[in-house]
Amino acid sequence: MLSRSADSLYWLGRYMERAEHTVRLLRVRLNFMVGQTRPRQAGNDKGWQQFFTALRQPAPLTEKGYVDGEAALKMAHDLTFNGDNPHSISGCISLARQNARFVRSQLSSQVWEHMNRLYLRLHSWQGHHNWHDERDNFFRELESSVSLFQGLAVSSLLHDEGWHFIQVGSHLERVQAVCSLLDAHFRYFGVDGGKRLATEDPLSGIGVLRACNSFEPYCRVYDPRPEISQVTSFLLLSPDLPNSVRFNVTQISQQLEQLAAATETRLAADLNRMAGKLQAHLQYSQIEDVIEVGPAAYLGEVLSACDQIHGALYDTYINYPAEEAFA
Amino acid sequence: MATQKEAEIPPGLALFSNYALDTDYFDEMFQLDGRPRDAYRKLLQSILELQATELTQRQQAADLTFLNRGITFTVYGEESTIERIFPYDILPRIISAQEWNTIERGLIQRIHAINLFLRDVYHEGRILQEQVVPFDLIYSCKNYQREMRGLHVANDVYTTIVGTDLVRLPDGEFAVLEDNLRVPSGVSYMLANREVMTQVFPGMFGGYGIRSIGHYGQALLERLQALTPKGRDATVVLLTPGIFNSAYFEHTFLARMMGIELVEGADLLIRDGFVYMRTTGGLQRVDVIYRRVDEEFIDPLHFRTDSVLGIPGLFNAYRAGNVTLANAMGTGIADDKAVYAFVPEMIRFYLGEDPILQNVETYLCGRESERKYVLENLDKLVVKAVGESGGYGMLIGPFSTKGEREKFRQQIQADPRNYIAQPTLRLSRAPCYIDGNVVSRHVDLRPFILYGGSPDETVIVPGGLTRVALREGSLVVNSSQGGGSKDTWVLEHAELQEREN
Repeated sequence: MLSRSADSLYWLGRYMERAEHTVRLLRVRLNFMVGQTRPRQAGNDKGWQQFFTALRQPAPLTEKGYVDGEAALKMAHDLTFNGDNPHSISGCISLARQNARFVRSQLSSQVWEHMNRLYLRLHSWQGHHNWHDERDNFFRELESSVSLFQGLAVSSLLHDEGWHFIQVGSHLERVQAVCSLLDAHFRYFGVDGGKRLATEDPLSGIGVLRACNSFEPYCRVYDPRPEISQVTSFLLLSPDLPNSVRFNVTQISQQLEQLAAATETRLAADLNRMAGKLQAHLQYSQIEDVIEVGPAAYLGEVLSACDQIHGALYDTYINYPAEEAFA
Repeated sequence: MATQKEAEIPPGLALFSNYALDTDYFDEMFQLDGRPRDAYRKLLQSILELQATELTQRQQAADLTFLNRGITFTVYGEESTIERIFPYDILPRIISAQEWNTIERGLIQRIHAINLFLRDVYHEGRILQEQVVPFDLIYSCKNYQREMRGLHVANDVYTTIVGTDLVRLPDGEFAVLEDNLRVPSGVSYMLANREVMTQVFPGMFGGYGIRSIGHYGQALLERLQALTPKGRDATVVLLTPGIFNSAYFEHTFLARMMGIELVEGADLLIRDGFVYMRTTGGLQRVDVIYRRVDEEFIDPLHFRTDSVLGIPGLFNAYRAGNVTLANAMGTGIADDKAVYAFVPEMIRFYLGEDPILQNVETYLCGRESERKYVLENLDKLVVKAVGESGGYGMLIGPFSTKGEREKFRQQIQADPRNYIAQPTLRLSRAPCYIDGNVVSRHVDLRPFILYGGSPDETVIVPGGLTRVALREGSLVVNSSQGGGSKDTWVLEHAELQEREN
């Protein structure tokens, strides 16, 4: 497979995953607002802060340092529809589609046409006046439409190396998204800004679980009253939860092994060692290990390992020097 | 042009109330007495059974299918970049088995002669020495590639893929308007039109024996593989200028059909005279490049130094015989519009046969007597720059202003070799469904010829791309100027149709 195609498939996976995560965060955040009577409630303000930080967007602040509620709502609209903002849903889907166009010849018609319809549908919603009142419906529809991408990919694409690149991209993106969200949570709701595994308001963990599509599974495993160390343990270390960090890192590591076998490259040793090391680290971690270093430091370690994996992926498959290939 | 109304559509055909039918133009569907031609009889029946609402629904279904599949081209507007579908007409253009037989034989003969000509002008130059084609015409041609002199081209195949534009004149004969020998495009629309048509109009196919075109990709791949001794083990790639090229959809479509990599210049590199592509498993040798990049952009070391689409050193690898390009370099010499005028001579010279398909009458401004005639009749003729394509660099006399004619007069006098003139062509008209009515619009036909080195090894999928000038009265079928397209059917059994009569 062409290196450039691999690059596009990797980013196709990443952008679709990013779009899905953003949809879910937006839906959870805006639904939470509905239950709020006073817009200046402390929880509300922190909720916005957490939201914007998790999406790596600057929060709009008033002079007094609070999040400006109206401006925040405008930004929520912008994060949905503004295609020029690469962090917005529309931006992610446009970029995903552009990458899909680069590798159109390697995708199935089902996947391509689905992406194309999704793109056109989002554009047709752009001028919709009742966006605010119908948004829950809209987000649910959008969410399932975005998720359907993975379903169609599983069932209609050849599970060859191109497939592995899509999967590595989407799992890596998901790890980073969950870590960033947890990190932001500890920063705004935690005690000591994330040095200790504790939060002021245990109920705030529900929002995090919902934003990771994990509230219902959580209730099946634990007592439905969330307890922050259990929430953290579940989202970081569960072997069975498809949104947990450990689950996704295991996938990355496996996909990378298969990728090395499929391409028969001689350059994959470093990359696979990094991924395997991170996988082992998570696999043999207990929540006590997280408590010991503090959640912020633990999450920081995982995030920097992800950055290294991303870099090594490029060195191995995409940007390797030509001389090395002839050596 | 005076429109002399001599023929009438039979009453009762409300859908056809605005249908123009007269002696000035050949009508694809109706005879002059208003009766449908044999090939179109069943189509007419279907149209009448379906009525306008149904037809409109099918048209919308077809448009939606194109949109959802992303079969679009990009329009760069002021406010935002939007994607549009190519206008598509749902009524097929139908060609009888007998008509196709003539076209097919004529094109195979013509393309074979052109390839013999290309080999000749880049080697011995027999046709020039015998003064069948003038020397200066060749050496003054911008598309003459000096670098190609004496270079052996794989299997002597200069043009693996040709798209020849045919028009149908008022007497019903097909004539060749131009041969596109460099990087012809449009074949994906021929294939997509058929796919969409079978989806939205399955019923219409019933009873018609329509010849299949689905083997195009396979036939093309076989011709490309045959260009190297490796044959089926050869690594073939399609070289595209990239996502911003207006034909990008076609490039992806063809690469997918053939199961080959779609590469850009940056994916290829040259090492020790061989071409490699950068893959996830390391560098991989490339044997054949189906290039959709114009030759002046293909290698910045040899041609345009400002090209960022090309691969430095590619031409040396080509010259060393380590990679094959299709089409070969230098083929533009034969679709120069002044050289075009000599194709009938080439057929006689190399094959000793009479041309089956005629050329359109052409005046070379480089010849004094013909130039004089052209300058005196600028308001009646179509003047074209010899090296241009796609409807650019053209003066359509009857529709031009005095200023435009004056501009061309000066250009012709300054550089007569660069211009030719042809009579304003009376393109045939075919039925189109537009805004709830069936109306007649001008059409041409671009069949795609896959040449393999001899007439026996040449394949033409039956039909081609029928382009339509959708604006009433317009004779310009180019998609950049209000043109659209329609599915083209070639019928199977001549005998069967006759028996039904």
